[in-house]
Amino acid sequence: MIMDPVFLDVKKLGSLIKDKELSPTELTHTFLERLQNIGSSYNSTVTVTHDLAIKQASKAEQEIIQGMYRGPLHGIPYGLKDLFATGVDAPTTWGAYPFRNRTFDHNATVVTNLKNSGAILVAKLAMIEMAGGMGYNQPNASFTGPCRNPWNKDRWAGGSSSGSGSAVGSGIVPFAIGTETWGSILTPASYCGVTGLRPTFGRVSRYGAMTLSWSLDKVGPIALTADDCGTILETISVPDHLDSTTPFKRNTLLHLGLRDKVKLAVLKDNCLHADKDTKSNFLDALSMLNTIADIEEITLPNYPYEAIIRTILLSESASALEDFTDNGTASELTAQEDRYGPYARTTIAAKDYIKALRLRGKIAEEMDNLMANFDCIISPSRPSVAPQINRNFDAVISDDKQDEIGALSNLLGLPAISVPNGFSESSLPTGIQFIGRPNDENSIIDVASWYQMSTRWHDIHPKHLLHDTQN
Amino acid sequence: MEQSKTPSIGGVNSEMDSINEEIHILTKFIKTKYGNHLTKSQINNIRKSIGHQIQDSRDLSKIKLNHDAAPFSIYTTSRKDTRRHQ
Repeated sequence: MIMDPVFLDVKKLGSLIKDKELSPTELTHTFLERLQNIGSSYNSTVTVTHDLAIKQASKAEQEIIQGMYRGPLHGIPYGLKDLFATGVDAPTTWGAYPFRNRTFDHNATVVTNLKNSGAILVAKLAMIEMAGGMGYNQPNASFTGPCRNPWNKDRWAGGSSSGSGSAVGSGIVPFAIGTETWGSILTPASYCGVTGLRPTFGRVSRYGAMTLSWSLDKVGPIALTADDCGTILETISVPDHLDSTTPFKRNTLLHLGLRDKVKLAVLKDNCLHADKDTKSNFLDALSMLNTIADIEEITLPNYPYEAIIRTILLSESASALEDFTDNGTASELTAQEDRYGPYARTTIAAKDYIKALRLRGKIAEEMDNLMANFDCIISPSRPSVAPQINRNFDAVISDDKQDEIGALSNLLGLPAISVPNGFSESSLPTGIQFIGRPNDENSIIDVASWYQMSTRWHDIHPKHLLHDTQN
Repeated sequence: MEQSKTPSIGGVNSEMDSINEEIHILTKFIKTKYGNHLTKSQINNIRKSIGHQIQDSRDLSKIKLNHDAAPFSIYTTSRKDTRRHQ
């Protein structure tokens, strides 16, 4: 191997593999070794799929040698949030102790699509138990332990796609797949200093993934760059008759670039709840974006977004997890609060759920009209840096730190991408998110890519995790 | 109409009474249906969660909609495609 592949982006790795300058087998061995050495000390892995990975890598290598190059993910190792079914190749635990040995008899569609692209599954990655839907209030809400942040082991990686964020940020996989119902891709991406793309609702099939909420769950990539996220999305956004919410055409990464003056919207009081460093880094990013964009301040329509999305999420999860709740399986979960979490929601009135759905339609119409004037809305990805790993969230996050933009954008299934935009005084990364119109992933990827190429924050990695200094 | 047991000052007390009564009834329901899976302390925490859900319900009910506003399904709607670059 002529070049150290750790912390190279997917585009570069793919190009080296295509040119036969990098062997998929050697590359896979490199990441398997890092998964064994680093993954367990960060609690970011559940299962390292060693034998399967070697088999897939060998096949990829043979195909490429024979000139059967499948595309940009051919021969690239990746990790998978452990809520996607992987047949009998590995257990699918949903991060929960009661399911620690469970296997399925089928593969999730996203697994099949990645397999067909020639990508190599090297690990099932840690996650908050039951995708965080039980109301967890602490990082230690997974049977694999609290997932640690690549920048500081005493900080949390974020959730619920904890292992996906931590694994990409610590250079033990080149990319990972996560899911988001409300914050579960963007939060770990921001805390771990990597790039996370939450696609439009319905863009990527959820078949074979754990259901938390039928009308809110989304599947998306976490990688080092926005461009990589676009490439991965292109591979996994295949219409699927097994998930009726995927009527859209496959997303094609167009690389349109910034063709005319970009129009960005920023929320009035956008940093109201942000800490000092997050605010400072966001204002710096605004100055940078101002050189290529018209930035206009907007006010969101006045609705109780968090109450609306919470009502939908809790109602749908009460139904999705009915058996789990009825038979008392929750009592085996790791976090104390998750053991009683599923019960209160069984009392939500049907009229409240219906009202929340009716409000969603009205808000979607108003937001479609508002967003028609912009390429995207920008905001800090999270109001603060990664919290300490041993503290409850309610001890560090006050009630007034609301996530209005996260609630709104997930409620409407809007695509969003979070990219790193600097560091705090305590050397923890912060993120900026670009939220787009439905089905317009290309615009947010273009703007985020421009920002990344102009700032290079995504090229900075934890020194102690660089290949030659790993511990 | 049954009168509130607590004298109401500007409707605040009667509203609190009504919320507490609702929390009490719903917690009793949980206790009856799932009590064998739950400890006393867990039921106390569930009581708090029910209180938050009732608050959400009240926030939702403050918004008035006309009957044209049907339940919205984000994957069956003929939602406008507002992309700038086609």
